[in-house]
Amino acid sequence: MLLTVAVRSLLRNKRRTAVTLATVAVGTAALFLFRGFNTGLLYEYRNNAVHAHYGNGQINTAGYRDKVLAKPWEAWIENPQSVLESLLKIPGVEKVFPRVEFAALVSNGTRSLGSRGVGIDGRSESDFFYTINIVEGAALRDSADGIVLGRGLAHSLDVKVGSRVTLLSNTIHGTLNGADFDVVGIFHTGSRELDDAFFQIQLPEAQRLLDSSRVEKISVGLSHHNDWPRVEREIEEKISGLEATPFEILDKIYYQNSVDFLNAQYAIVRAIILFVVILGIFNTATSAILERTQEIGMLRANGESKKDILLLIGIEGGFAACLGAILGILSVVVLNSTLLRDGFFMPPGPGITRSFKTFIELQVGMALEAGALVLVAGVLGSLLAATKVLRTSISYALRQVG
Amino acid sequence: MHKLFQGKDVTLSYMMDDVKVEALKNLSFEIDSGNFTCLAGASGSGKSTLLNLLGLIEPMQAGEIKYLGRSTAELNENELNRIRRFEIGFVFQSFHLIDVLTAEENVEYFLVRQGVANELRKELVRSALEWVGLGDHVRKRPGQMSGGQRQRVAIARALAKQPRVILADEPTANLDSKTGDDVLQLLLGLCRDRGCSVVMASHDPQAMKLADCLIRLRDGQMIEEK
Repeated sequence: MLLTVAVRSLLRNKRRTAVTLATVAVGTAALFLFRGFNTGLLYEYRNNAVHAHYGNGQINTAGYRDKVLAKPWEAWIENPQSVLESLLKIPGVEKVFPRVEFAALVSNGTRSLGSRGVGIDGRSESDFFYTINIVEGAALRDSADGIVLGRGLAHSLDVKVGSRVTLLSNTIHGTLNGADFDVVGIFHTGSRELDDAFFQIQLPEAQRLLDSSRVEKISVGLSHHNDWPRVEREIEEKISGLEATPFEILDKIYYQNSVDFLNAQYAIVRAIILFVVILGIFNTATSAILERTQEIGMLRANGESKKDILLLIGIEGGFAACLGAILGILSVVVLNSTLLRDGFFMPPGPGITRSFKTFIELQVGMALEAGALVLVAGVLGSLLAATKVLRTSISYALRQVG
Repeated sequence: MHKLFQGKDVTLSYMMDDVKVEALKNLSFEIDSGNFTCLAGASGSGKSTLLNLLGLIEPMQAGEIKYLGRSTAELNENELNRIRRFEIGFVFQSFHLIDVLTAEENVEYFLVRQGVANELRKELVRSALEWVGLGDHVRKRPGQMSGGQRQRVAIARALAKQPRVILADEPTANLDSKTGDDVLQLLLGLCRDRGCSVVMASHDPQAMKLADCLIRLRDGQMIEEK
């Protein structure tokens, strides 16, 4: 019976009901859309981070990342080929990229600069790491004696694509070693720390310079990013002595901080939207309830407690909020499959130097979250409105003109 | 015949535009169970205020009213709600029906809230509406009925609750004389035929004439008790 009254009460004043539904629908749509937009952005950020540098995660020997070692190469991965083969047998692992990172002097003949090099498998990495920002030339690919420099490093050395540079590095035995390389590309990550000091050469060249057959780490590319927790578990179970680290931890500065920033921003926007919804519902519900003061007085005169009245008003508010939330969610789904279907361009984000296209990523959980939040706000707004009438005496309520 | 209500030195005042209005002054009275009692007096004499006190919808200020021998001041909120829900039926001057419910649903509403089982509930609703002569109008909403019909629904609603007492606040005031007489006869019939106590605030001479007990008020004071 309460539900009957609640449902039919929506038809008492159609214009007011329309305003209530619109308030709730806009609130729900705003929450849903904003959440979807943030998720779309994070997908792009994640995509950039995974495919620019880190892969979905990275393998090192256990404890390697937590220690400062005098001879770090002693803790590098031995027999990398067998580890690579084992990794590729784990379901979901699509690509593996062995790497070594080392300190070196880069010289253009007249000027030498301290820098950090990464030895990579140029061919396989060029396909997977497609979002690295090559601002001049090309990625390393098959170029055996090629080198790709960070933009700041190239600028400091005053070299361009086609220039020749010399690398000087210590082998793991402490002797000096060197080799000449052709600059084939210049990259830009957005991080000054990387751009001013980093370069890439082929892994065999790096191992020759270091006089080591080991690799420091193996980046892993997955078919589906969401498989990472399972893959991480399997790696640590099946290959002893290794540990796996997801890219979120490797790229805490950009990706995880962006996640935290966007989540904090969403929390503030969510609070504002919910406040507006509560105010809107409170406003319309107050008018509706004031008009029904006599009815509420009559209900109370016949034994309905204040809690009973709050329940009735709460059900009414909840029902209206449910309808409005469904309208809001449906309108966002329609909007996203029509006007926003092709996504839209955004200015460069953290770690990215180019504009990028993003999409509104809608998920069922987001719709439920937005709907639930607005439902609570709607009920709360209605209950706040009801408390005013419930403070008056029953006889006073009955005397009011409807 | 036991006492339904006993009032002693009942006094109540309220503020209206910064002016203190003494609605009831040291009123003492007794109302027997099973009677048709009329609270008579001109507008502003305090009869509606007294009816509200009897119906436990106006808080006591001074003096004492006993309901079935128990002081109403001793009743907590839950007890007040329980008595209002199960033992008192109200009939108001302005009907106070729920606009969005049909006649049938208006009568049924408080039976649902009382927890009456479905079959018994339907039977109580049907017999109450038939008793007030609205057996053919059960699906009509208040907006589709005349004033007299609405008041009959209100009486059926009060009757269906099977209360100990029905309190009627000028139930004929908004009706023409013929319809008013019909409503009066219905309330009288409730008392005579169904054994339900009725306390009715009215300045209708016919109601005063038919009442078993008359309490006449003027300016919040009793001037006659019969």
